[in-house]
Amino acid sequence: MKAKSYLSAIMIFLLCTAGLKAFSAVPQLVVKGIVKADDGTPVSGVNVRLKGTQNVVVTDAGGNYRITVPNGNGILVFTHIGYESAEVAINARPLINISLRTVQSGLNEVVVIGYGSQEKKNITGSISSVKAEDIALYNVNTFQSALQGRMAGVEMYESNGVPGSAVNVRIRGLNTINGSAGPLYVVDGVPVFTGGGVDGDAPLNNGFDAGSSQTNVMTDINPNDIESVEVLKDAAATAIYGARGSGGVILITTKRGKAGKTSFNVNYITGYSRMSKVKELLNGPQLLEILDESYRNTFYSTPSNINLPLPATPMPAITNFTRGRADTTDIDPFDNVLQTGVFREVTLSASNGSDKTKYYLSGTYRENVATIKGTGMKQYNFKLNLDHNISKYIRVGLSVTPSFNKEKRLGSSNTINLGGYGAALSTNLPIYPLYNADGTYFNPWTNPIAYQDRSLFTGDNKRTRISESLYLEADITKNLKFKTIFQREDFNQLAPTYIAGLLRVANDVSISPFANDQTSRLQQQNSYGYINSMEDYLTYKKDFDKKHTLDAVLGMRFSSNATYYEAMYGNNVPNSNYIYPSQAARLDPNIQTGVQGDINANLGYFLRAQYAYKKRYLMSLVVNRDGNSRFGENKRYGTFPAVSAGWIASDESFLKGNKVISFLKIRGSFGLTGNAGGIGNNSSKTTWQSGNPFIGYMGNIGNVPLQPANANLHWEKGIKYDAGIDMQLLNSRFSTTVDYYKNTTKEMLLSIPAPLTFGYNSAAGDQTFLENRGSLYNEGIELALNATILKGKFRWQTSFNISHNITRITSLGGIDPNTVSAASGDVQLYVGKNAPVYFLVESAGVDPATGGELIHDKDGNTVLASTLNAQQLNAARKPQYDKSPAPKYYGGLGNNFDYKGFSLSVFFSYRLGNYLLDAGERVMSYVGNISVANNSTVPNIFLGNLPVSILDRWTTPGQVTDIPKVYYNDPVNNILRNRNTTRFLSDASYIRLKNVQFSYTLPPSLLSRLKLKAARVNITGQNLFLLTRFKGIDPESVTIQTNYRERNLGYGIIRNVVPQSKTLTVGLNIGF
Amino acid sequence: MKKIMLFILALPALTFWGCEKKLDIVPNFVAVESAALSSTESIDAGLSYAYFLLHSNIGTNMTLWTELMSDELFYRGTLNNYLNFYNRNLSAAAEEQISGTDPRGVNNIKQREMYNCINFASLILRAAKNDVAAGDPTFAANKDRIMGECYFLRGVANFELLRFFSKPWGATSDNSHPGIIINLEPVDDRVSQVKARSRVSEVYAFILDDLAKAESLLPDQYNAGVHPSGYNGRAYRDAARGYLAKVYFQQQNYAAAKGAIDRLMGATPGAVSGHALDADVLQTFSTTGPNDISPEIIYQSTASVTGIGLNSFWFNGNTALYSRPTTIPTNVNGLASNAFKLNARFFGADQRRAKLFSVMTTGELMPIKYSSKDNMNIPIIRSAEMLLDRAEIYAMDNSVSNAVKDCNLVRARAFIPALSEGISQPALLDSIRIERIRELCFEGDRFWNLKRLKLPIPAGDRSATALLPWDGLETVFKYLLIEQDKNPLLVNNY
Repeated sequence: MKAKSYLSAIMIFLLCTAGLKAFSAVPQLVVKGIVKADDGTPVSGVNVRLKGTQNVVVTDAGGNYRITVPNGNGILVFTHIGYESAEVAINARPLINISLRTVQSGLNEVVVIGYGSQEKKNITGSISSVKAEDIALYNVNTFQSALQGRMAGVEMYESNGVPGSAVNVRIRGLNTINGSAGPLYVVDGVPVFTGGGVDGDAPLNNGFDAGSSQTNVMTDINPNDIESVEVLKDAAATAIYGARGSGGVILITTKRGKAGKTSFNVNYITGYSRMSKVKELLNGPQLLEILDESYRNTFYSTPSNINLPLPATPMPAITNFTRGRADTTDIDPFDNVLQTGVFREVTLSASNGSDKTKYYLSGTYRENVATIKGTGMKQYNFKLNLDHNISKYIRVGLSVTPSFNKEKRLGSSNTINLGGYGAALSTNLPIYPLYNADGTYFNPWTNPIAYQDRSLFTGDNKRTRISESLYLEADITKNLKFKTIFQREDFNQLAPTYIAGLLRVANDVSISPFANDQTSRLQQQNSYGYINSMEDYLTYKKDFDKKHTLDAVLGMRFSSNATYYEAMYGNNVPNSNYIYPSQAARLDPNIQTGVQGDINANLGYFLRAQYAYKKRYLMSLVVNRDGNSRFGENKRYGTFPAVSAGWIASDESFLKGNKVISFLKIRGSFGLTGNAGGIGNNSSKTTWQSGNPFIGYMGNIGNVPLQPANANLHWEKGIKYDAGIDMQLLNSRFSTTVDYYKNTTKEMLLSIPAPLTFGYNSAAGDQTFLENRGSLYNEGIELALNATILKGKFRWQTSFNISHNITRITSLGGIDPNTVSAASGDVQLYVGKNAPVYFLVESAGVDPATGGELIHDKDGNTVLASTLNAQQLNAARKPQYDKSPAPKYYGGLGNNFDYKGFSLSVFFSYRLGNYLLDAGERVMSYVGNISVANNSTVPNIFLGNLPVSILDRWTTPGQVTDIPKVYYNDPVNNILRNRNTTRFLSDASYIRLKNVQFSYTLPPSLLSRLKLKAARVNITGQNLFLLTRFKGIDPESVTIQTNYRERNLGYGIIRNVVPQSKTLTVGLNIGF
Repeated sequence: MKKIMLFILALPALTFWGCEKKLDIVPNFVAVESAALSSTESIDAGLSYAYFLLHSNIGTNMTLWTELMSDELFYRGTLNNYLNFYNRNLSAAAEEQISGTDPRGVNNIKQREMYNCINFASLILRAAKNDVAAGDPTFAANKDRIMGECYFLRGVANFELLRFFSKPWGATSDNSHPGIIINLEPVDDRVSQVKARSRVSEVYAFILDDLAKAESLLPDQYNAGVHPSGYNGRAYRDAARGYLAKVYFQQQNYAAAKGAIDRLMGATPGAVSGHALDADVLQTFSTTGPNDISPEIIYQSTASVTGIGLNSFWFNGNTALYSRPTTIPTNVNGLASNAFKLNARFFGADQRRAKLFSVMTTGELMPIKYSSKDNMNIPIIRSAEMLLDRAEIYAMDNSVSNAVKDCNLVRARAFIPALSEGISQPALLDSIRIERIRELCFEGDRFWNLKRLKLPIPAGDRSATALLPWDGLETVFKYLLIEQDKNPLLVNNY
């Protein structure tokens, strides 16, 4: 008999023995009243609940409530964030007015913990949370952007400033090398389908420009619908999601309807954005000067040329282009690529409810015109949350969340992406005019205007997502509840791209050998998938003798998901109005259907018991047993237990009434978590495939084994320790949380390149053998401080957090580090050292005598780089232990000032001690590294845009500079041009004014005259100010790749990413 | 109310019933082994790909490399890849820089494809042994053939790898010098399969065992009534015998080699009961496709619609070794070396000299064995080779009359005078070895033959004139350096 059957039996037993009550009708009483704060102002949004029931109403803007109770004997419980709860016996009174005491501490705040909620005071795990008010300070596409710097231990990397592009969220460091290191996202109790499987924030990459700025599917979660975001960090908190909790868990709770009158809320935001910093490039004359000089230098670097006259500098052989035309043309490459972005958002929400039925309905339209022409995103989000009481004891609810997202991307990142930002940095030379004399596009391949012409190019990603979930909750007894949730989520990202023949760069000889016959192409790429999930659980809560409190959860969950990808290409299409490849004259043989279409399924059983003795000795035990289809039959299940304990010392007699310490809790936790994210769905199975390109001998069909399978593959194990102190001082004016943690990952899912002798490798690359091997740990300290510096009419609150984390490799399981490196070996891992480590040739400046680049060779001698061969350069690479891409410290600093209705919030985020390698700058800094083949009939010119730093190049013997002598497309003298060196590695520490908001809330007196419930105007700025030592453009934007190992280790090597935008918006929020 | 509650109670049981089984997912777009190899047809598809891998190299890359390394060819092209082999710079051939930041090797030496062939054959062999396709009623009748083909593919691929990646047989007295890594079982577990190279003696034993099993299991010949023409050209019993002879001969186990040849062609010297010599030397080099196999061919690489690309190796494209029959030397990258001409000493009437070479305007010779016809089938083993093998074995055994009979069969076809049975043993051996040069030149025989005879590899027409030892590492392929990272037990050939 399997575990599932046992658990089912236990559940049914519990349910049956719980004993059902007989219910009967009784006379009813209506209780009314006003809830005020201790300063006399009415408090809206207070939950008024008849104790022990789900009968709850909410106060309106005037603090009024009205609740129907079955008889006059119950107790009303008043709760609201920021106030101490109060309980009042009804005693048959129809009018109960009450004033609530303000608390600064937030200790009574209820925090969502996964399969339940708990008062913050009693939590024994490590959880950070962000409320709707904090998210509302931002105008963002994804709530993740609002997390940056807000919470200790939570790091957020944006890939770039293009709306909707991928992010990396890392909680307490890097917990895996090859697996998914991102957190698990759970919305209202059900896991979010992230498109690329269900792993963390895996980006989705289909569509034009996908390779460099992948899509972040989390943008489908409307930030306006979020009530709170809880981040579960330690084992005690994450173990209930055990199998998938290694990277932490982000719980998102959305807004739900509240009883009372219908309330509407309209939120309108509009504003502008600009690129936070624009890279400075050479103008036309400067570019030509450097081109001439580099050509001359290369020509005379050949000894036999020394006495020869200098030939003319080569120029691109473009029709109607001459040196004379180049000399007289000077167009800023960014002029036709950048623009002022627009941010516009309107949200309408309505919420209403009676005692029986409540709903929350919202719709948001958000338009984000990016700072790059031809790039932007439009989002349409809707949400309906419906809750209904079938009876006093049974409740059902429904959530429907459709969203539609439309992205336009035009060469938005990396070095050479035609048309957009990358093209401005590389191929849109300032010496190129935009039009020919006859009005046609000059050299369309490098012409941004041509790419922006919608009749020549369209590349739109359209993503539709719909999530439905249904729950049923029943009170079996007063203390025992049962809840079941079903969820289905579908998504579909369609990415049609049209490229006119005029813009086809590659000359496809299979179409025609004549360049002029190159015709248009349509690409239709489609990613789609679904997730089904079910959860059932019982909750038991009881106080015994006022001394013992027990809160327990027992349940099961199952989910399965699949993702698919299809692509079809058509060539020769009349014009951009034809949108399906089947309308093309010729279907491209490169058709893919249904690749990556495999299913992944998870099954879990969980138990959590939280026990408190005298409400100050706290204990929690979690046991979780999870199975995943990715593992072999005998290795499928893992058991993940966690224990934690807490002691509220301030409730002990020796501290009670202490004037300095108003609250002190000491807590600790230990537990196991697992990780199966980031590996293929079939990694433990030998799988075969047939069809193109596996055509066998003599035209017979081929059948080919794809990978070496590891039937013994099992869960990656996380062992997490956490110890923390929560403390409040001086009557809760200061509060602080300190955490120390050490999270060890063992038996990592390490993908090890298979030797050729295994017989699986292909020309496209080595197959890897996935194996549980190696270990690492993350160790760190987190500190969060909150203080109310000034109280009273003028209020000043400040918050600060700082985190320090190291990721140390303790074992690579005997594997050669070369085989688990990233970024083509430029990032390595070393046992006993912190990770990741750059492994680079060390630049030693420029030789004043010759202008050549100096480096340290393998013995540490300073030599001219050009005197070494490739093997010797390779041997000269050295680990840069003290210059890691991982920051030493990171966090945020916020200040809020309130005076009457005015409020100012200023928030800085920072990162200290991390280094980034600007490979984009390296590519640009050598003449000839960039070239565009154009049409193959046009001879290549090895010239791309150059950064202004090249003006400081070495020109005369004896000159001291750090920019070497320039050469033209010269792999001999510029031997380092394709190699990352420490020359482009720089300290990327920064502090950024992430968010500033100034707002005014209309006073109640004015509101009642306007017949409004609430009104607020604000001016918000984002990324307005940046202080950094980074030599590149934006230390906050990194290159995010879809390959997990590259994402985990190689993020410090950046390639001309689009910088973050500065935005300034005004917003109006009206409630009525 | 109670009913509702009972319904709620039943929910978890209802919804989670059978969830555990749902973890046994069936992949959608790939097949697990039990499904992928569940029919004769799908097994044959797997075999077909293994043949594809083998034939992407034998007859093409591998023949070309040995020709480039031998002394018969004068390479005047500029293709770096070919120059590395011609200059016998085998570390450069193995370690090609792929980018400035990643100078790790790319496999340009086709070791990957050969090991894939071995692995695929092993996987299919295991499935056949375990009767994975037992549900298919046609499987039982095909099982022996399938297993025989697996043994054949594995044996041949291992033999070709062994010749390139280790010192030849005899380089140590007990042949304990490193051979190649034997991949006997398909990989289930990485650690146990990260192995050191086996000894040359062990690898030979393994190859011979595979080929002997192939000989016993393979059917006599292609049966047009059962299989489509795409199966004509796969391995049948004589192919296994031919390879057995080739392997024993290379191993200098002459008695066993003769035994295999006798089984293949009949034991009567000077006569062939099967695979009669083609009447015209050109015929052997002008067949195309699976239904056009000249009698002399024992095993070949069959040109096919999949375009294994036989042409491009030899004459199609400006990097190819030879050119279409021409007299203009500037179009030609590969010419017969002067050393070859001195060694071959062709008779004026020799058909092979007349029909299988183009004479340049400069008087040089360009071999045109592979460039006379588009999509030509490439002979791998043919009767002439077997006859010359046996002639040499007889001669070494001082069985002069028998040796002369076998050799004369080849000479007669080339229209050159017969050897007299009164010839002395040393003169006979010399004649047979010269005959071998004339008959099998530019087919990849010379290089291995020198190693078999333990003769140094002459410089040919290269400017450097030093002889390379037959048993040195100079002419042994190198493993990619990254392979040493992946397998710490791997000893390289430096």
